[in-house]
Amino acid sequence: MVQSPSFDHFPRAESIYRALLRIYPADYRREYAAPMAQLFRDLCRDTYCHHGRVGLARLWGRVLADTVITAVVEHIHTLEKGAYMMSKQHQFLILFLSGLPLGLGIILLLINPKFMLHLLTPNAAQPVGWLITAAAIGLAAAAYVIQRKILLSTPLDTSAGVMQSIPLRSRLYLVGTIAFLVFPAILLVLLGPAFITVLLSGVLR
Amino acid sequence: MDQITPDLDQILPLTPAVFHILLALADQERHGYGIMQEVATMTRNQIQMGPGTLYGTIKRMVAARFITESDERPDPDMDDERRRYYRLTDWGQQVLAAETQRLSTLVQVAQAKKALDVMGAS
Repeated sequence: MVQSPSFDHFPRAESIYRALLRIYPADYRREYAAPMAQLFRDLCRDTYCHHGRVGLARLWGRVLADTVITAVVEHIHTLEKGAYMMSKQHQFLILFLSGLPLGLGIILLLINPKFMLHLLTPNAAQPVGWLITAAAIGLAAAAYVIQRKILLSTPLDTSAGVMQSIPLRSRLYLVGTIAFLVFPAILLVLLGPAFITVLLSGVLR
Repeated sequence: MDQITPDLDQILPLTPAVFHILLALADQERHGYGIMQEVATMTRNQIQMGPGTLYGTIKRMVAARFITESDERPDPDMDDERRRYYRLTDWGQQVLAAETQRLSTLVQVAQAKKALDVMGAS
């Protein structure tokens, strides 16, 4: 039997676990982060008493897997509730990011429609074009990350309500979110390199 | 607060986590860690819920009104007042009874089909 530790025996483990809890949705954290941290502290104390450091290592493995899986589940539940809402400012930002490649495409059509179609064909894949395409993909990925950050950082306060599921609204919201992500990404990849190449060709001519 | 009580048939079968938590709270109020320990004892350590699984399930059970947070402490002098205790609601007791009945019927069917004979022979 290992020596019984005090409550303050695992401050670092508890602080790491508290940091880990940040991957849960904000409303869930507000409600359950404190009892979960306390439960983790109790678990650490008892596991150390009965199984020592090896037991603690096993406990960490179990808790890490449990935390990651249940955090995903809670985010899905929160999305299903339609609890994530964007502020107007963020909506305009997303609309701007979505409209940018569309605007590029329209300008491109107005400048030189034949050249644009030529650039979109496979034989136009030159090294510069590939580099620009890679940059466009990077931008689209960055837009995705930013959008997720916006979505996850502005939840409604749902702590007062109980599971008021609004399936149609939440589904529409999910479809809208995906459209916001996929549509500009496709347009950026297709039209961004073409637009820049048209500009370059105009400069070099 | 009037809430429509869903039909038991729509709720059953329960997930193992929900059933074990209901069973852990059947005889007395418990806090989160108490529920976890009771489930481990009941199942001979076969089911060891993590904190995320436990509180995620508790959250949905509170929303479904199977359990509720208790205001009272079984022994306030001996316990940390920050701990949250949970207890079964009347609806939770009905759900637990219905699920237990369902499982009992299944066991009877299994016995009638001599499903346990293999264990007796070994």
